[in-house]
Amino acid sequence: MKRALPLLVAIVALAAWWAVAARMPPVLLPTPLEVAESAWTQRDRVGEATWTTFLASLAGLGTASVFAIGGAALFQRSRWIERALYPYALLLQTVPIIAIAPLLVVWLGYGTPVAITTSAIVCFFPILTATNQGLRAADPAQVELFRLYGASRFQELRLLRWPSALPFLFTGYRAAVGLSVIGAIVGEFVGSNGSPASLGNLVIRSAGSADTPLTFAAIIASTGLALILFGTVRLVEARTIGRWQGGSE
Amino acid sequence: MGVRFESTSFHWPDGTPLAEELNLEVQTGAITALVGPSGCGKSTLLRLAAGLLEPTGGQVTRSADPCAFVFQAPTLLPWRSLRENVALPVELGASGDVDAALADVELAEHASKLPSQLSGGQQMRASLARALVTSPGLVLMDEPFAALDAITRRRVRDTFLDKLGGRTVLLVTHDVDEAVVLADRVVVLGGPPVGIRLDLHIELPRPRRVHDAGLGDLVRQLEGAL
Repeated sequence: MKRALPLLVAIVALAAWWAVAARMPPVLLPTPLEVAESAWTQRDRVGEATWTTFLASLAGLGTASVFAIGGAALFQRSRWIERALYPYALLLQTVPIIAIAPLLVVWLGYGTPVAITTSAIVCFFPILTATNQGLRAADPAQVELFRLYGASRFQELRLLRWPSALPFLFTGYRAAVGLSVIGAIVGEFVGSNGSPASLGNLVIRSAGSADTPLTFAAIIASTGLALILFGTVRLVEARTIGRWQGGSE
Repeated sequence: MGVRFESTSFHWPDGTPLAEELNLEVQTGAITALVGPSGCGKSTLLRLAAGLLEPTGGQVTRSADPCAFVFQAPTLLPWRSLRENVALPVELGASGDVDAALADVELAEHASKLPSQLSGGQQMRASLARALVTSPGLVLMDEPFAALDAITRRRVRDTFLDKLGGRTVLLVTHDVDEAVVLADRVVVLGGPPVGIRLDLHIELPRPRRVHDAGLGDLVRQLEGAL
């Protein structure tokens, strides 16, 4: 029943969409069938766009991870560094990404690097915060144990603080993967000229030419992309920290 | 000499005194229990003995033997197997026989399991194995049985007594019954600032049970001092 409920909601939503769309012109609201037809007939274009956006999201997520995890490790080393740099990390989070994107086009030119950068900017903060929090969340008794046995800072970080931070890190990644797709698409809205095809560009172009079924197909593809990334994180999470939380004998 | 507190003072960073000019010597090869009300500073004395805290006055000296600490919770690392947990002190540079330590607490067959796959009593025994893997001369224990149910507590306590024989043990507990069953000497503390209210040597044979003749009087005497 727990698993069937979301499926039931999806079926009801699809039926409601169909019922409303059947009374409207496709340019305003296409039916699910028209969206599926459009996605099928233009599958090469939608597929290429999805792949480009997927790679940009992944590259953005990777770039953000390098800076965010590196930054959190630095913060963990010194409260002073954290106090000095954290406000700027927060500032980066508060600047609207859509406002930065045109500047990135000026600096980086049209193409995927803009999408990667916008994706990285929106992913950076959740990963930084989660890692920073996680690295400080080690059990104080376990920290004392490591100090009692004369562990070096590196041993403490490698054997205790990083594994302790993993549950926090996964929480950060669960938030960040969805944002990575949104960030990439925002970057593509502004910084993609259609070569290579990308979901952001496909949405802008299809909406501009009143090809609403294709717009819907691109939106659904981007949602699917985010869900796949989210599912992958959940899977890795279950395979790693899920093992630690089994039942007692 | 196991551990010696000489005119030891300890103040928290805000200046609150926890210990003032405390003198206490823990004898080698004996189990000394520190009993006292919550917040009197028992656990802090243990951390001073371990070198995890530095006294703000006087000094704390201890023998050069390796020292081990057993916490109230097993404090096993949940991502490491039992064997890897017991091997942790060795991995951090101490020397010891991991297999022998696991066999000593009858957990060799569970060596590859994660802590979450073990019962509370087994986890506590694993914590003991980790403490004893380096053959420490001094074992510091901070209410190690407090989180266990009554039956498991008795079993784990017996294992501890069996394996700790001959070592210098400083045990913190708030349970007077436990102190008289386990210890050669019970020190009742008051405070803060922490001070000695009663220092009692127990020379009754082991194994002891709470209802043994002679223990009742000791318990009443200790409870009177609390």
